[in-house]
Parts: sequence; C-alpha cells; structure tokens
Amino acid sequence: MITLKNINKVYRTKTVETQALENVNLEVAKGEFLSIMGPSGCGKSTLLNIIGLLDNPTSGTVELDGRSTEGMSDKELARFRNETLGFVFQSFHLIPTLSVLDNVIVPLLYRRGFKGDKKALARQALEKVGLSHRMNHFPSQLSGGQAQRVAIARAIVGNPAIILADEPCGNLDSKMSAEIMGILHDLNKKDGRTIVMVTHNEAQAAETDRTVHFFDGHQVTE
Amino acid sequence: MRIWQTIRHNKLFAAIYIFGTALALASTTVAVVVLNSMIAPVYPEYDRLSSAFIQRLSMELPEGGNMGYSMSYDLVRDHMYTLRNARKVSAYMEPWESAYASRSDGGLDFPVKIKYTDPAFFDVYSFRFLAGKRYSDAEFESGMPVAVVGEKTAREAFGAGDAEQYIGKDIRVNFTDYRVVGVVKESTPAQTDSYAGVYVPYTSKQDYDQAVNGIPWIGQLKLVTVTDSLDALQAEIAELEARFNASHEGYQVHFFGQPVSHAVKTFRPGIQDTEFRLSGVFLVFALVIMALLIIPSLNLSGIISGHMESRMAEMGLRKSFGATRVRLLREVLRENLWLTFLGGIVGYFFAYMMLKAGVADLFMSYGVATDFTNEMIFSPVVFLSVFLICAVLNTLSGLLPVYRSLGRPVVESLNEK
Repeated sequence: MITLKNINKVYRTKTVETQALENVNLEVAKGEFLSIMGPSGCGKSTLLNIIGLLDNPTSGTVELDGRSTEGMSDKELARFRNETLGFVFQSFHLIPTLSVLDNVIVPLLYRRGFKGDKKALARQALEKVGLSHRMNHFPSQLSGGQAQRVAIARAIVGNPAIILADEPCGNLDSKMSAEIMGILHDLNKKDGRTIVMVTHNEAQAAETDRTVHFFDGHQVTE
Repeated sequence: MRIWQTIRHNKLFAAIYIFGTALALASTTVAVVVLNSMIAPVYPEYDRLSSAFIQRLSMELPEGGNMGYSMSYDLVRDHMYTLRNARKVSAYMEPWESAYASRSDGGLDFPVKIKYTDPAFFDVYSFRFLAGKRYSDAEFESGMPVAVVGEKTAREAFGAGDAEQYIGKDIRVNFTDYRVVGVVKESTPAQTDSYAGVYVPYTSKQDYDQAVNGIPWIGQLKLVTVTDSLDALQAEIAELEARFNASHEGYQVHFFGQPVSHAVKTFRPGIQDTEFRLSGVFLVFALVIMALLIIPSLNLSGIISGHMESRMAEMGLRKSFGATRVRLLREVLRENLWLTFLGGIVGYFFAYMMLKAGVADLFMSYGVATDFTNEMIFSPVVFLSVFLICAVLNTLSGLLPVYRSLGRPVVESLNEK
C-alpha cells in the first residue's frame, strides 16, 4: 500500500545542512496499522509528511496505492491527497469559523466531480465517531477528545484508503486517548483502512500491528 | 467559507475591512455619480446620447476682427428648424442677467432661472407635466406672455398647493407677468441644458429676432437637436457654413465643428477647441478613480496580509485535504469580495449622504448648488460602476498578499499558530 525507497530529506539553509531522514526504506501493507516511534526531532513527522505528500523528499521515491508519486504536479498531488489520504493532526487543525459539520465536509469540497450529498456523508462520519449530536457546534465548544474525533471524521469522510495520524493523542488525557485509539482501531479492523501513526506512547504503539523506531533520521529497529 | 461566519469570528478584521472599503468607495461613488449625472440620460434629458448642440458661432467681419455669439432668429428660422438630419430641433435663450420672481403673498422676490424657449423644447426634453401643458404653437407665434413653471418654483411663488391650482395664475419674473399654462416636475441645476424654474416663449422677448449689431446670423439663440446621425448633421451644418461663406463677401462664419454631442459640450473647455477628444476626459477620470483606489487598496492589502497570516494553518489544512493554490485563491478572493460588496453598500450610503450634503459642489465649476436626485444616485450605471470598482479594489488589494501567502509550503503553513 505504501512503499518508500531510499528516502532522504535534507533541510538546507545558507549556513547549515540538516539531514532529517537518511536512506529510509519502508513498506506498509494494505490494511496494516503501523506506528512510528522515536525521540523528538528524529524525523517521524517529516516521514509522515512525505508519505502524506505534504513534503517532498530530497531523494528517493514514494509509492502509494500502487502509484509512484514522482513527477506529479501540484494539482495531481492535491487530487491524490484528497482521494487517497486522510490526515489526523496532534493539534486537530479544526477551522474555528466553521461548524463541526462544515469542518467535516472540507475534504469533500475539493473532491473532483463529487455529486453526492456532502452533508449526509459528513453526518455518517460524525456518527461513526459518536459526535452526530454536536454537528452544529463550533470547535471552540468542544473538548480536546471531541475535537480529535471531529478531525477523525474529517479524515474518513472522503473514504480514503490510508489514514495518517501525527500524534493523534498527543494533546489528550489518557481516557480520551483510549477513546481515540479505539476509533482508530475500529477504522483499521472493521473498515480495513491502512493507518500510519506517529506516537511517543509505547503502549499505544504496542496496540498496533507493527512499530518502526527512528533515531536521528535513521530507521533503527522494526 | 461562509461570509457571515467569517464576519462573526473575525469581527475586528471584518469591521476594518468593510469600513475602510466603504470610505474608499464613497469618494469614488461620488465621482461616478457626478460624471454619470453629467453625461448619462437622466430626467428630463433622456435623449442625451443622441442630442447635439450649437451653442456659439464666430463671425469674421468685413472691417476686420470677429464676433463670437449665439445664433440669430433668422438663421434658426431659415436653416436650423429645417435641418434634414435632426429628428427634433429646439432653439432657446439663456439670459446672463439674474432673474427674480415675485411671491403672490408679497414676500421678497426670489432668484429664479429663466429659459426662453420654443414649444419644441418640451419635445426635446421629456418633462413630466404635473398640470397643464406646454405653450401652444399659436401662443409662441404670437409672443404671448405665458409660462411653464417648475413645481418647486411654483410653490415658492404661489405657496403650497396642488399643481392644478397654479394653472392660469400669473407669475411675475423681472417685472413681467406670465400666465402659467403648465407645471412640470422640476429638474435640478445639475442639468444645465434643460433646467429652469420658469420657461417662457422666446418670442415674448422684445428683441428676440434682432441680429446683434445687425451682423447676419449673430443673435441670442442656442440650438439643441436630437439626431440619429451626428456625423450627417455635422456635415449638413458644414455645408451650410460653406454656402454662407461663399455667398457673403467679407463675412466668414465658423461653427467650430458644431453641433457636438452632449458629452463633448459638457467637457470641451472652449468652443474653439476642435481638437478636443472625450477619450482624454475618460482617461483622466479613470486615473482619478485609480488614484482614489490605490491608497485604500494598499491599506487593505496590509490588513489582508495580516489576516492571511492568522489563517495560515487553515490554508495548510485545506491544502492537505486536496485544495490547490488556485482554488484557495479563488475562495479567499470570493470571501473578500463579499466583504468588499458589504463595504460597497455602506460606501454607497456614505456617498448618498455626501451628495445630499453638497459635497459634489466641489466637482462643479458653476458655483451653483447641485441637487442630486435619487435617479442620478441610484442609476444602473452607477450600480454597475460601483460593482466593477469593488471588483477592482478587491483584486488590487487581495490578489498579491493572498497569492503570496498561499505559496507557503503545506507543512510550514500547518505549523503556523
């Protein structure tokens, strides 16, 4: 489902060159729940951004769902992200001026040729995360756990094959974290979605199918 | 992106944006209304676009020198009333001296604008008669002292009442009594061609048919026509000019390219300025509008730029879910356009207040108070112009800062707080 070959990422300024990722090779099977662990600054999020086509590798290739993303235009990348990927961020990234329902609809706004009922799909996604009763609220009226559930609903509303979660429980207490992890596991087991999750939490990582560890931009163990 | 939610969640931004836009648009709207009222068809000058005028001519004299004046009655009667290329023709006089009308209650006389016209004047200009009718051809031919008066003038002369009540009364202007035969909805001094408080037959003026100093064709009459072909009409007058010059030894008449359109007559600085081009006026006007818009555009650019910074994470989020830069640019500009339109509506209101308060007098060189009617202020042309100005302002102020901010990498945008 996801194949990374010889991925390198170097950040350059006029005076400093930082190797964020070095020769990373990774395969994630369809329907797998993979966690990525490592200390801060080891390149986990950079890797997730590269898988999510939010950032380009300095060298190496990314294949998603059997397609090489090399040489894709910005427009093609945007379309690919919209149809294939769903993102869950640590800080939720809900749009404060939109209601819960409208936040969930966002990916459908950019779905090319979409003719379906956006609101109905968004309601279904919110039902899946147990938040259909708060669809007319605004993000400022939600708890952290609820906000992250909305973010998950937004990630799945477009029915993407892959969900990328960057420390989805990083801002939540243990009870809420458990709820979020439960939802992610349901999406993986029941819906068969491939999930790649960055986490600092070993217990959460242990619940996933496989964990890869990073240190200083290197993949150290699997 | 919904405009009301945006306003609700960004009250300060929205308020500054709308108010700033409103102030900028108010001044440009005033300029557009003034220009529009000068050249667009408005009551009672609905035929402005096909009107043509001869205001003055110049005659070179056998003894040397020349005389610039209007037309004599002979010229108008023999040649102008029979112009082949004019649908309607009217001649009129506008005295330089002030006129005063008496009040029926014995109060102080009040200044009034008087025009000496023929009956055709009321065909060329579409006056709305509230009572009575124009003076008849017979009344005109016989030089009867009759008058058509503006409603406001009638009220001032006779006191408040129904328009019908003024018919048959005498209005005294400059010590001459005129019997009122018609009352029209009064236009405003801004319509300099048609406006007057009192219209009387020019034949009621004693010396109307006298050539000035006995010089042929030189007199006091001006001409307004309605034509389907200004070129043909100009050619006809040029032919007339040539015929006169060939047959009157020692005299040379010059019409200086007249008749000219209403717009040319309005903006041409001097009658002899035959090289005058309207495009120059519109270019200057467009530059003034741009100058009026550039400063607020720069200010709005700064505000939008700051606002986009605060929305970087949102833009990054939208991109991560599949929005392209162009799509986001469109969305944000559309959102700004709604704010600009709200500013436009408020600005229109400000402009209305400014015009009613007499700010437009600054634009006029006549020194008369210009009373702008709602028809002039709320015309479709003004609406369309303000709409276009809004769009230009929106594009000028928003395009660059929004495009630049949307060029930031997705990850960088997402990490913005």
